[in-house]
Amino acid sequence: MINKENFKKINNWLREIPKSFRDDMRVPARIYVSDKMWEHIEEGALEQLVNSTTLPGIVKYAIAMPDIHQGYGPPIGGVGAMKLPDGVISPGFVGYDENCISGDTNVLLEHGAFIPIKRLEKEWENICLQHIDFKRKNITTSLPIRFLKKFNNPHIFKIITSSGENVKITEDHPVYTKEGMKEAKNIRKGEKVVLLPFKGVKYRKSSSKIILSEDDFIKVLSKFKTSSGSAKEQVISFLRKINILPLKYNSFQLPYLLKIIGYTLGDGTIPLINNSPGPVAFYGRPEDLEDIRKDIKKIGFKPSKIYSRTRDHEIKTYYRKYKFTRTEHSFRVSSFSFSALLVSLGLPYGSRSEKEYRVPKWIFDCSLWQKRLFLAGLFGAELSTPSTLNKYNFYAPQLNMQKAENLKRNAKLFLKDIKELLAEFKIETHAIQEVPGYQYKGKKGKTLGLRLQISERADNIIKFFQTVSYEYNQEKFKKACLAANYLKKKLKIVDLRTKARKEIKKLYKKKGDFKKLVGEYSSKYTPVQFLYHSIFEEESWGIRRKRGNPRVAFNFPSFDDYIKSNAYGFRGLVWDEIEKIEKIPHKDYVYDFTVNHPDHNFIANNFVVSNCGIRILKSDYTEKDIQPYLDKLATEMQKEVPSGLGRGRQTKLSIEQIDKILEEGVPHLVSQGYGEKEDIENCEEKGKMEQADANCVSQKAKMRGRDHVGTLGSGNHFVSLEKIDEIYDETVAEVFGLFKDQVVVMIHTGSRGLGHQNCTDYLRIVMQALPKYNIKLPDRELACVPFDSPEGQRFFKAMSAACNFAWSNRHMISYYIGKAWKKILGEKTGLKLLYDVAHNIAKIEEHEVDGQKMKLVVHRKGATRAFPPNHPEIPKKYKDVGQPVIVPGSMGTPSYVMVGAEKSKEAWYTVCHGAGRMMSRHAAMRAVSGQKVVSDLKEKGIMIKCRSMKGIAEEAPMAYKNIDDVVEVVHQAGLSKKVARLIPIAVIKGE
Amino acid sequence: MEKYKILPHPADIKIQAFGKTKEELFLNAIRGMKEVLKVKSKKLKVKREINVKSIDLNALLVDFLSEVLYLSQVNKEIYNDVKFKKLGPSTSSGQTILEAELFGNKVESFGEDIKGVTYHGLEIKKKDDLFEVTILFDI
Repeated sequence: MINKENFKKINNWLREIPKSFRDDMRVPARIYVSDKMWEHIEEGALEQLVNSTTLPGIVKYAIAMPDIHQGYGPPIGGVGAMKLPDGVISPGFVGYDENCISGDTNVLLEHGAFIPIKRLEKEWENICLQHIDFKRKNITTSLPIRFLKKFNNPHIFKIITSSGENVKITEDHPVYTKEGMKEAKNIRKGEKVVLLPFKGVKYRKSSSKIILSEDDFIKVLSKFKTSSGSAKEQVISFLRKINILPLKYNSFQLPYLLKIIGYTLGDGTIPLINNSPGPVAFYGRPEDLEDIRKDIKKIGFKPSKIYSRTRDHEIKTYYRKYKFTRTEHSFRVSSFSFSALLVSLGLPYGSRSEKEYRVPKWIFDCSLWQKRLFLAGLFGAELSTPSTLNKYNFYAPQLNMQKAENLKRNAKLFLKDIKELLAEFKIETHAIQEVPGYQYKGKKGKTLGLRLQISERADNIIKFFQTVSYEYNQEKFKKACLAANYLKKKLKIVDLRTKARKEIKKLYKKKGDFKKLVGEYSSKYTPVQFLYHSIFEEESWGIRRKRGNPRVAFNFPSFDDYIKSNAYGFRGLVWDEIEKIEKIPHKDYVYDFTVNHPDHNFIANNFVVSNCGIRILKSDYTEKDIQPYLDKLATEMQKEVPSGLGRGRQTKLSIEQIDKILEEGVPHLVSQGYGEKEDIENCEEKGKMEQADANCVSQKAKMRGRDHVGTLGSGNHFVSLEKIDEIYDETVAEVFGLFKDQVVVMIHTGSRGLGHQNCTDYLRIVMQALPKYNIKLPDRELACVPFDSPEGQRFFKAMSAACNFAWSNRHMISYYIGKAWKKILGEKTGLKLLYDVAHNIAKIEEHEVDGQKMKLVVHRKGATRAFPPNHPEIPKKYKDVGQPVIVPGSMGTPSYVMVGAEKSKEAWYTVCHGAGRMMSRHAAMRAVSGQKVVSDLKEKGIMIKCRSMKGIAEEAPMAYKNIDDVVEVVHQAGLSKKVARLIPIAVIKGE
Repeated sequence: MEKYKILPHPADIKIQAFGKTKEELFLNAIRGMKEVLKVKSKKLKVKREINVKSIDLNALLVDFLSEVLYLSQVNKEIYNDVKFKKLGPSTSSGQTILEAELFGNKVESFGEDIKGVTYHGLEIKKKDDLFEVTILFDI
């Protein structure tokens, strides 16, 4: 148990308890407090402060401000900074929803292989999953961090899309829709979901058989001139260092090498220099070259940067001469070890059209998913891009080759190898053709063209696009995905029309009433005209024609139009419509992963709960100007800003609008016409935390936020009209735009229901993750996870989104207050934002620790950031003086505007956030009636607007510490300096 | 037997709930929460299904109350009765589960805004055949 005597007085404003006080303390704890205030500090709050010193990664001290009071987890008024990346972040909220998918669902792994999820039970830790990064609309890979299996009974949802894709998931499993993540049970027919049409090839474990041993490699190496003596030794020792030899079928490097080998046979070259292979060069688009570079780095080699140069080209063909200019992008891998390795694996070097080569034999012994990588790499470079010949039908994808005339047989054999490999995927190809128009005359004689085409029959190319597709070519991969999805829909419609034609013919024979039948059978894709021609033969120009098999309907979109309206991002993702949702019996296990999100790592803490904060709006009026209108103004403000308890605003925002606010914050609202650009500049973080990700915020939290934008909440949340009764620092006040007797509006509220739910959700998630990170804590509410853990990252992104929501909420309240002012005082009335700052937030900031600059996750719980002059993160106009700091008093008591000072560096540039409670709500209610509070305030000339008397007594001034005392401590300790004192003239309280 | 009582806390609200059975304890906890929310309810009756899974019984109570709070706020409803179908350890998942139906009324307005249900000092204890627990609400 903590005793106040355990704290040592350092000076008149600061006390400290040493680390030695308790074994689990990692750092000492400090509190800024005066002798006068010390007696009012609860021991429970001090215990919470000491508990927070146990958080992993905490640096220097756990700090408390003079307004400290007991909360849960760390105390309110607490500050802690955790070192990155090994420190923690702890939310106070969690929500690991155990929403699962059925065991036969295929999950897409890295390298384009898939596997039914149930097969991963024992091996999930060794695989890498592909997943969609919704923020970047991209496909990316990540490691699973948890595998989940549970018994499901009795139902599961089966969702079927219009292209025929289906998935079976539990009712609470989220699916990405146009409105963001939605649980299966809330999804309706006709909604659009994001799909990746590419399916890949079934994963099989590969053998440990050797493809290339060190001896094999040395044999190949010794053929080259440049590799004698020490050079040879160097090459071998390098390959040993990167652990690539012996190369086996199950080596982790093999999948990358297969793609690289495939691509090199198309758009790569290994030149011949001194009878040896020279540096390997790759050509292509910069984004694709970047993907190749990344893979090369993964296997241990160093690629050069990408070079771009513009060149003029001239090509003479059988038909004519072509001249064109284009920018060529390329990079090289200079290491001889790399060239030698590729050559040892069967790649030709020197001019390929002059060389005999085949698909390396060892590739035929690879697993199918590995063979795909070789083919897709080659196709990314050499196979034609999916395109249509008449808007609806696709050309047969073709692979062309140029070869010296005398090597025609070898070229055919190479294409035959490709043909055979494709046959293993059950993909049909046409016979290899010689292409007469592709004969060139080069320095070394004539070359001829050969071509292999993949059969253009719809089901065949769908299979090709969905299983093999392209690697190292984002554009071709994207088109292939979209084409597969498009063709599947097209085939479905053709099938529907074929059936309709048959059916109507049959029925017409039986019943003979065309009009009646048409009424029943006509639809979007089987219009009356189509049904008519299905039954009656057409006669034109005296010729009777019978209709054959139906084609797709004219109103079916062309492929180009389809791309425009259905593509999602640039990586082949597509919006597909839900055609059917069925609740089906499922008495079996269901499974799920928790996936490590790709961005940066970080995590944790339990400090942050809901993100409330404060802002001040400045008017040009003095109290004298306002007084005659005060009642009307306060009433109008109350009308415009509801408390939102159960009764939110009349308008409910859509989930999509909530997502926008979560990710884009105040700038988004300004772009929509709410407020001024200046408001962005005067808000902490410019009203938008960049790390925010709406996908990390649960559906529940969003639902709670839908009618809360622009509402106050209850408790100590309020809007007030204040007048400036004292100026302490004229210079700073002038920079802030404050003057004596000026009327200002103060708004104190937070992220409302959305933030609270976010907290609840993440506390739950983090608590469940504690054993995984071996974190033991004295209080569950301190639950935290490493900042760089997946849970930590997700929490940080969700919390950042909730901060954006809170700033947006205060911004919208300001907008509605502005409306009220205009209504009462005239259109010319303008309110200007002084500053907006959050009270509960965890942020990455750079601070000095023991003389060294380092990045910390600073947690402020019921505390305010206060940056000194010249800090880069404050608005330009305040740079010379420091950040405005707003310290609100309790209802009916003064508030202060202060300015950040350099001395607060020792408290991570933090000061108090208000007066701090001293008396419980109940005690306050017992001590004083609401009526008495109102009449006391009235006597002081303060008007109160509150819909219910119940809440007034709880917030009575006597329930709080004396704000003047609190501010004095901060001022004297040098953490911030007093600029102006505000006294309330009207308070509009939440209920 | 007392169902619940509201305890003093400087900033937030604490309640203590009692019950002869776990079910009764959970029921009285939501009745205590109902009092904290100070609702003006309407006549229209409502019924909701609720399923919760958690790591242990203490966490289950927090998660149950959080879920009830969520349902209250989003649907503008208050619940004063519960029909429990399951409450206790699940053999298949190894977790503690709750399946129940909530009964209550539509709400005109709430007088208090509970931000969240906390784990602070929460421990379900059994004394003389009576379960009891203290719950701190963040308000």
